[in-house]
Amino acid sequence: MSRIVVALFAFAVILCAWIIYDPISRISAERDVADDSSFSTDAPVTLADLEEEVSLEVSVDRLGQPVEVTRSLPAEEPARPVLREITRFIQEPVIRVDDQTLAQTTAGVLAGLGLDLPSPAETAVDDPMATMTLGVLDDIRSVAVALPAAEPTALQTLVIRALQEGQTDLAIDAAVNAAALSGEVAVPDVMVTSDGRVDTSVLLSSIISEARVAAGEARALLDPTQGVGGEGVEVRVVQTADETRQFRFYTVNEGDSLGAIAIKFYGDAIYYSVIFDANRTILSSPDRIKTGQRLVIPDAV
Amino acid sequence: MRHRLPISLVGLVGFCAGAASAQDVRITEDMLTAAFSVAGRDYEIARNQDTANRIPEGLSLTSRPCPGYCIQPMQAAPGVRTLGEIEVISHLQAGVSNGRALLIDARVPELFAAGAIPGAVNVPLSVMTPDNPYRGEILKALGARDVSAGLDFSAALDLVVYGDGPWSSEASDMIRELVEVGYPAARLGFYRGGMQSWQGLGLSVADTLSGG
Repeated sequence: MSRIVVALFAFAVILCAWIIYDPISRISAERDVADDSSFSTDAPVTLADLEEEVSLEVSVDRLGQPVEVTRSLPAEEPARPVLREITRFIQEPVIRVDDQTLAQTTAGVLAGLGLDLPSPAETAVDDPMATMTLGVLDDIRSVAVALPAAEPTALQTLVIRALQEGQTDLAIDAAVNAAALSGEVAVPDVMVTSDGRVDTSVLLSSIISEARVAAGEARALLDPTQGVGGEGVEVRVVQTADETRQFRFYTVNEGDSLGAIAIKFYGDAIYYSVIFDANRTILSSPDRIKTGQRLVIPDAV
Repeated sequence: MRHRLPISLVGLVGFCAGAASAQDVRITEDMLTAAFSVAGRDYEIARNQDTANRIPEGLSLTSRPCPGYCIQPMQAAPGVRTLGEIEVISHLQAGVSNGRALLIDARVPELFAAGAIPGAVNVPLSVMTPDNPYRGEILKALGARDVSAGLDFSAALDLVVYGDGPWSSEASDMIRELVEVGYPAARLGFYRGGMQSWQGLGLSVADTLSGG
């Protein structure tokens, strides 16, 4: 009898322990983690994988045209929202954003390719203060020549080498993304997409565009009254007694970067600041762009 | 690009006296002349060897009206060191000559062109005021870098600023503007004596009017 009591007591203890430690749910939790890791950046990402995942339909050669930046996303099973949040959480801090602007990065790449850009200020010569400033700038630069030229950043080095080797845009994008995910390079904030990748096409089109400007061509600027189509674009026409005003909005699609949106609406990534300034209330920083955000697109640049 | 002082105020007697006592007027006991080169140009600073030479007429006024021309304090801004001629010369030789520093003449371009310290760069005060929409470009040429929170001056050039003289405010005004925008005081120097003290000691003056 006492043995039965002891056996029952032991069973009760084991049952309580089972309930408290709950090994089954722990097993399922472990399985969840395993699921997550297939999306985490720790999983080895090969270049081939990246090329499969992303197909850029934007070509640098089409710069200046109302280009559509679209990406076919990897064919994944519909991810649970929580899982997607976790993936985003894991990816976001991985893309390092540096202080270099797109213009500086572009100039560095072009310098690496043997083409120096004039400073932006040297285009303004219409008022006395500008003329005086230009004179002063020339004087300072003529004396401070021994300033050590800025070492090319890791991103610039990578892109210069890839361009010199004649790699395709797709391969360069894959290489930049692989390097950005592993933390080897930091990128300008306008190149970060809403899904936490790096939009290398923005840098590549900026390189072409600056090279054209340096060669004396006018900078591309699309006519705001010309319709820009595509998913997410919304035009509202407000008619008052004496004028008709047009307001444009753009809902951020997955894979969009602020630079790409600027190319889409204005024809050049350099105008990203126009969009950023008009949307500061919802954008804390150009790389904080999120899928589904509704951005105001100003007409005037 | 060597400059010899124009011997304008001396007559025959002075000339003979100068010639007779060649190189008697040294900068310091150890320094006869100070040679340096800036961006491939050679400069030499020496003192006028004519012991009878006098300060140019334009700098002999004692009573310029204040307000307008007021006596400047010894320190232009907290943390900004004030320099004398020897320190200005070593700034030229040690800093400006290797491109990591500038000697800035804050006067108007006309006065700079008429005569300035050899190796100096003219940055008129007016381009450094907030009224100049292109001031940021100049700050960047001085080594500032754009960052998200404004300008980063960690790689900025060492500057020494001078103006007309201790009775003129352009140099200290410029230093205050620079400190205001965030230029580190430790990278700024104030040559309070300016052109008046420089010429008062017979030190070499470069002028760009005659192509020099």
